Amino acid sequence: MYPIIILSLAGILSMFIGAYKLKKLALPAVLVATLAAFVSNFLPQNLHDAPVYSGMLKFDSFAVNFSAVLMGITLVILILSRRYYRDNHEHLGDIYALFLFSVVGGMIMVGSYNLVMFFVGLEILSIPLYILATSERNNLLSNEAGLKYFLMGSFITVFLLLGMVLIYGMSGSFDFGAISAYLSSTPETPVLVKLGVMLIMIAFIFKISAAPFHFWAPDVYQGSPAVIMVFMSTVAKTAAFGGFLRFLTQAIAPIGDSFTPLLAVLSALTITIGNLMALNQNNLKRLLAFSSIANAGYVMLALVGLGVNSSSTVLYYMLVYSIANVITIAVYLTVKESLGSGSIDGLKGLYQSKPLLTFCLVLAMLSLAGIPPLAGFIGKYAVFVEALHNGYAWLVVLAALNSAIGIFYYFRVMRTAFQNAEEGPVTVPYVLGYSTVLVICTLVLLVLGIFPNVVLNGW
Amino acid sequence: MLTTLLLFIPILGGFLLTLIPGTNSTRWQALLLSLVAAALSVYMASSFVPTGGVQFEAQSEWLPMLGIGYHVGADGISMVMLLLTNLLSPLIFLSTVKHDIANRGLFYGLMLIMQGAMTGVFVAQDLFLYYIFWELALIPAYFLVLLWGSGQHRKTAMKFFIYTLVGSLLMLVAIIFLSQQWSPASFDISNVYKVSLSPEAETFVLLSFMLAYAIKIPVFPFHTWQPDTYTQAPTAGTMLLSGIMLKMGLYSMIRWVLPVAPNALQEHGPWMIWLMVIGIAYASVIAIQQKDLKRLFAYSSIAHVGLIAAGILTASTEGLTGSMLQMFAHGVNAIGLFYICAILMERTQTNEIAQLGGIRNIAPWFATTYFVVLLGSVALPLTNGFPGEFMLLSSLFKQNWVWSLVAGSGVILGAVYMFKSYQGVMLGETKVSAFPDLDIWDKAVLVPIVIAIVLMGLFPDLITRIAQPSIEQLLQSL
Repeated sequence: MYPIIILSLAGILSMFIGAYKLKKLALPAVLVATLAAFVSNFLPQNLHDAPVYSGMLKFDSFAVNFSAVLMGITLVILILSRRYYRDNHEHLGDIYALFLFSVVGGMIMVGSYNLVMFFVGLEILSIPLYILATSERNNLLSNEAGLKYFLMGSFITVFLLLGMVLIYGMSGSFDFGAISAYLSSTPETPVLVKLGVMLIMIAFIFKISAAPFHFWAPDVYQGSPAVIMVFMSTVAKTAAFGGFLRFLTQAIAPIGDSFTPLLAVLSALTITIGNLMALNQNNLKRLLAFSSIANAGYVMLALVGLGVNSSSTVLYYMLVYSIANVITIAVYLTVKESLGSGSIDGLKGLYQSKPLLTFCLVLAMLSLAGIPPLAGFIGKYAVFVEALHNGYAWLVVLAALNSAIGIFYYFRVMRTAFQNAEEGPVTVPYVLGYSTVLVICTLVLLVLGIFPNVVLNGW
Repeated sequence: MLTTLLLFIPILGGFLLTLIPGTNSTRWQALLLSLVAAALSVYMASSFVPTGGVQFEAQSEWLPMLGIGYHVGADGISMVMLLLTNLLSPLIFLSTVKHDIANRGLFYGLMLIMQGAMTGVFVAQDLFLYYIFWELALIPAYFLVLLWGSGQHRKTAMKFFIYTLVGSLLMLVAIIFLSQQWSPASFDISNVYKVSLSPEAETFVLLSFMLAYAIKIPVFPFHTWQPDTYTQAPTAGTMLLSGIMLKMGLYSMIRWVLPVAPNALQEHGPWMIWLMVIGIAYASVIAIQQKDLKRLFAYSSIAHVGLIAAGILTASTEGLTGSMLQMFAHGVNAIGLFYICAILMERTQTNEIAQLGGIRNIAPWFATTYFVVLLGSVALPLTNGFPGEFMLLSSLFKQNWVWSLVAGSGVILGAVYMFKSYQGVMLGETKVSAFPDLDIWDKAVLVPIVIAIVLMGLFPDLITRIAQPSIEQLLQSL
């Protein structure tokens, strides 16, 4: 829980930076804090196998590993944001504070051992995102995105609360361990508990933008500032998956199996909708939104075949997916700055002017499309195997066919980058931070593809 | 260790080359890397002891959680393919050096990665590793067609990629299925060979593997991507595709299909062979009508590899030995033929047979080398095409004489269209205004090919000596 403490403090301090007009300091300070939190996460004292704080949090290896990924990706996104917010002199400190609070919420979620804490984590994660989505104040789309996200999100919260109340009412406790003990001691699960789990699942499905609650994602992703969008589709999603996985394995493990058919159907639906809708998108952010829906569906395969390796599989998949997404958005940002458009055609001529950038984009796209030997392939393979263990062969075949559909739109992005631009090559200003982030991300992607055991070792 | 080196020198070297912007010296660096690999493979072949077993083995854990290991090694069959890959690659690189290619770093880097990936397919002793290399070879091929192709190459590249990927995905499903027969899952070749399957499961595995290979080779009726891709890819890409890459499919039939699904093959083999021999005749008939030389060679390639595939499916010593010989011969000949196309294109800006003619009168070197490659391709005795083709036809004859009749007609038609095209391009009145004879770089590519054609025709034993024991062992274990 050290990272939670460090980042909460850093967030509060960051708000003061705004008040004292020390904007130049904001980003370095936030980066240092995140880095410190990242390092402290790996301290042996940080790891407790028993619940702490009156059984509210349990910082076991599951929580530590998920937190590490959450903070790692946030670190990268923060570096990317430097450029993005360079003109926004007014609320810089607040924006960074919101970023940090959101990550703290995510870490509370993946570390929670109590339904109340789970709820608190989810809200701390979400509320900053509602604000951040509208942070481009003069952009109508950004305002719309924030409002949409907020309305839908708070509506879904009601479901979550109702589900928690139902479970509490039957089991008499919010504690994961107590709920689990109650469930294994009751021979027949009460309908109300099942209903409660279902309602919580609805909130989860909304958060990861899986079908049938995915409709908000394309609009919100397209409207939000790119940096926020990538934060939502990577960090927030990873946290949601981690939190739900935790709930599934620790609180309702005894009856977890009865929900797999439902998850399987939803996963099939999500993968198919995401891939088919992505085929015809011309806006890169919108395409990424549908791709993110499809990928949520793939990760759900691991939940369908819940086994000992599921946690590391989910984490590996989300990490790889997040890195590829961050790379794509970083490329998009550089191109957008010079072209002022979010259309895929804006990538034309990229190879002529920026071969290195194109190289990173190509690897990211190949990884997203799941082409061996890139990390995305190993991730897909691992989730397929998880689902197969539980006997869902039809689902795996469907998912495999869908990944063939994915080739079409991921390759379209890639191909466009190699097309010659009609009006000469686009000029992309050279930015040190971006290139460094890109190269590091690409290297990590390659290393994860060749040595997946780093993450994928079934802790 | 040697195998690992042979594998990763081109892959890592190629990867580095793609990163740095190309300069004039890039081509020499690439050539040097491929020569190193060639020297290494020759050294391995010379120290190879022709027994049945796997040599130069390397094995270590890679992904124990999923039952995947890094396990490479070469038996006689792999050894021949290694020689083919790594001896032909320098020639392919050499064929490009005199041209000014855009984005050199990327071009040569991709070619090297492809060389390494193909080597990987031939040495992988772990089914998952094999699949990874199989797909890794596809990515550079896609980019070679996409970025340096001509004509409608964007569409063609996509068609090629999707076509082959769909086949591979089904193969992947079969691979996962095979690995799950063990608990915990295992992809290692020794375990994969030991799997015992129910008849239905075996049929499923056979069909999904064969579909992937039929597309890759390509065998009638899955060949529709091939003529476009061969015609529109850059010459070096076509050489890699036809000379080496399609052998991945043929080799995989020997390595994986025969041992894993022998019973299903006995049941379904006959209609597959029927398809293949019909494909030979079909492709030959189409080849006769082609007006474009490169397209003609593309169709003739379908006919040749169809015969090899049919011979492999007979699962006889003769068929397999013939296929090894013919794979090598076809690789050498295909590179020669497509290089000849490139020379014609470079000097006359056309591959249209009707617009060419009488070149023999002004370019004797070119005429002679073209003629020798042509003789090898039509399988004249004492050239490299003859022993392999003879054994393949004979293996077909022993199982069903009608097969050899249909396939043999393809061979005869092959002579017809090859000589007709030679007549059109080289003989008659001289239609081209000027045609400089082979320069030093052309000779550097074509002379080794001519030597190989004659040498292999005289001493087919060079190849069979390496492969024979492994083939016999493989067939005994069925």
